[in-house]
Amino acid sequence: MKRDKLTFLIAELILIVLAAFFIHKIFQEDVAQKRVAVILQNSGDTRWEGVINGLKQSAKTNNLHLIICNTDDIVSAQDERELIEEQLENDVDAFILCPAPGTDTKDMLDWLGEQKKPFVLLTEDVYTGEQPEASGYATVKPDNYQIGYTLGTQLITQDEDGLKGKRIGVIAGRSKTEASVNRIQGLKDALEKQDCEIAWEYNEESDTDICAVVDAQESVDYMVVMDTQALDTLGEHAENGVYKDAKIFGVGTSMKSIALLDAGQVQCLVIPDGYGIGYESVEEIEKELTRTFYTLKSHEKEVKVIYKEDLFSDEIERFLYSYE
Amino acid sequence: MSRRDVKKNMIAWLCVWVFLISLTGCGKQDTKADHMLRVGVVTYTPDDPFINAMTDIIKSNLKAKESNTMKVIVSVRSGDNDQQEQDEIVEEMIDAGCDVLCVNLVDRTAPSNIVRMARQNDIPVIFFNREPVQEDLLQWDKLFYVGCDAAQSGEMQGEIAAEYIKNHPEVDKNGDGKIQYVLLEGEAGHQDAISRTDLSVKTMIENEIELEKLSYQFADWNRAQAENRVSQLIDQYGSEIELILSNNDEMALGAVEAYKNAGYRQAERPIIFGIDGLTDALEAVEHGTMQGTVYNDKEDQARMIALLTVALFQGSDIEGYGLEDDIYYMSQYRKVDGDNVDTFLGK
Repeated sequence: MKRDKLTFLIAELILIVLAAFFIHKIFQEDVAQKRVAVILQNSGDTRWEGVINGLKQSAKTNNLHLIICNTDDIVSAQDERELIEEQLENDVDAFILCPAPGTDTKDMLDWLGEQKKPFVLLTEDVYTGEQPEASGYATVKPDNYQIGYTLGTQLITQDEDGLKGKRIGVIAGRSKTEASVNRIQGLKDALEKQDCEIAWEYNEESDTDICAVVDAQESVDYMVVMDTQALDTLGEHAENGVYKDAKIFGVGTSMKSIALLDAGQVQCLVIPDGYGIGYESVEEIEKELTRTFYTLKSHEKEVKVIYKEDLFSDEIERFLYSYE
Repeated sequence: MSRRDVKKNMIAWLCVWVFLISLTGCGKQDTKADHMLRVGVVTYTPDDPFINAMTDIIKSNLKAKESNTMKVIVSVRSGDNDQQEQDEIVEEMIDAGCDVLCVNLVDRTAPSNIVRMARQNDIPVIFFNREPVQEDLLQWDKLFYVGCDAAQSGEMQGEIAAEYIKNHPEVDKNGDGKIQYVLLEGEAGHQDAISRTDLSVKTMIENEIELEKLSYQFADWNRAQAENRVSQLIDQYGSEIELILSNNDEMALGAVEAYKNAGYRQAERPIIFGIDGLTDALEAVEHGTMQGTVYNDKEDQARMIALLTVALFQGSDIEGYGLEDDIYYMSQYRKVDGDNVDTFLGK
């Protein structure tokens, strides 16, 4: 009788251990993926190709569920807030955002911080005024000042006369953004000691025909186009890299920009590492969501200067592979 | 109450409690904000100027319908000529929150995944420009198609080409009574390409134009590819080619470019006809480098897509929209030649 009891108890114990093991396994496998909403202006725009590839790949590696929000123009902090509110209702765990233009965006992001949802800014910091300062938010982006400065130095080295007496037209992205302000400042600083003139500057607005805008401006020797969409449009309408007598240098982050460089429609491209920006922004969020005492950090990603003849070098091919 | 009854009661309450908990867990959260209409537009490629122009008009028409009570967000993405990629984009759009989908399919015979996903989430789909087969559109009552009858464009192209040749006998450069022609086709096996090609040639023959086919080339609806193909044909046939019939304007413009690059004067070139009525093509007709095109009324189609989208979102009646079989809206093509091109250029 005693022996039976013992056998029964041992069997029960084994069953309890097995049950505990399976329950643990079930719950371990049933942990829901954390959800991260991504808010980019015009999320379908080809300028985001590299960034979105990086975001998706990193989300896969880090076991996060990415929600790339359907957006068109985000012209104000209020527009962005509406999209954020929608995703808060959708119960997302974190955000990756490209900040809306304007100084109101900082207040809006302070509000988001109060919602206890972590967020990372990508491609640019918040605009804090004409003399930009770092906002202090975690940001994964290229050095936008350096992009402008690099374009300026490329103009100087490529022009036979070192830009002597040359006139330059500048097209940047949306006004009141950190990227535009810093890129233009970088360009101006690079050209400061040259005997050249910036004939006109234009900040791209949504739904404008950039060709019509340029056609209405006076002729220049070079156009520095620091907005991918504008670059792609002007490059498409250029002949042998020249649009309305101006050679095109610019920032391009789409496959089309690269194809235009290859076709000789654009003279020189400066390309930020969009894939790396996307990848690392997701990594940051993953660390914040999974580590108790982790503090989000900013990252600065490299930029590459590419001419047509560089396109098939190993280094550039590796870099561009992420865009496909 | 006996102990047995108490036990039964407890079990019943436990079941109710478990059921209620499971309901809250399983229910998909409804994130739809009534004041915000989110439209997902997915095209087959980002590189088709006609589709891009149409998408811009759809967007501006939808934006014009914004009011104090309804904000409109139009998100445009592209399938990069890959049906699987387009399916994934639709899935992402639905996941992010979408009220109506407007889809320009990569493969008109493969809308099943999109239809399934849309149906599961009760999101109406308006297909445009590339017509799914009827059986697919009949799967659900929230599927629509806005486009044109490709056969009509082929007939019209044949008519304007035949009329031009009758009025300009010098087109027959070698004077053999036959017109040596080349076809530029969109894609092999594509329904629109087949209809346009067949009907265009058939209509010319019906109009008593004797034809001799020199070659046909597939150029994927693309200007650069057509330019490349026609350059090769110029090397092969020289000035033998008297007529080029193209399934769309982009390829026709590629042919124009090829002749320009080959150094042919206008009088030495063949006559070239396209379809779509792109601005570049209308300007080419105006300048005489193309002889005609068929206007695909993107404005009318975009207007109908915007109307339908808002009506479907608001749950309004769509009976007055003149849909055939409650599914199709077919816009009418219009012929364009040198005589009426100014009207289309808004002059």
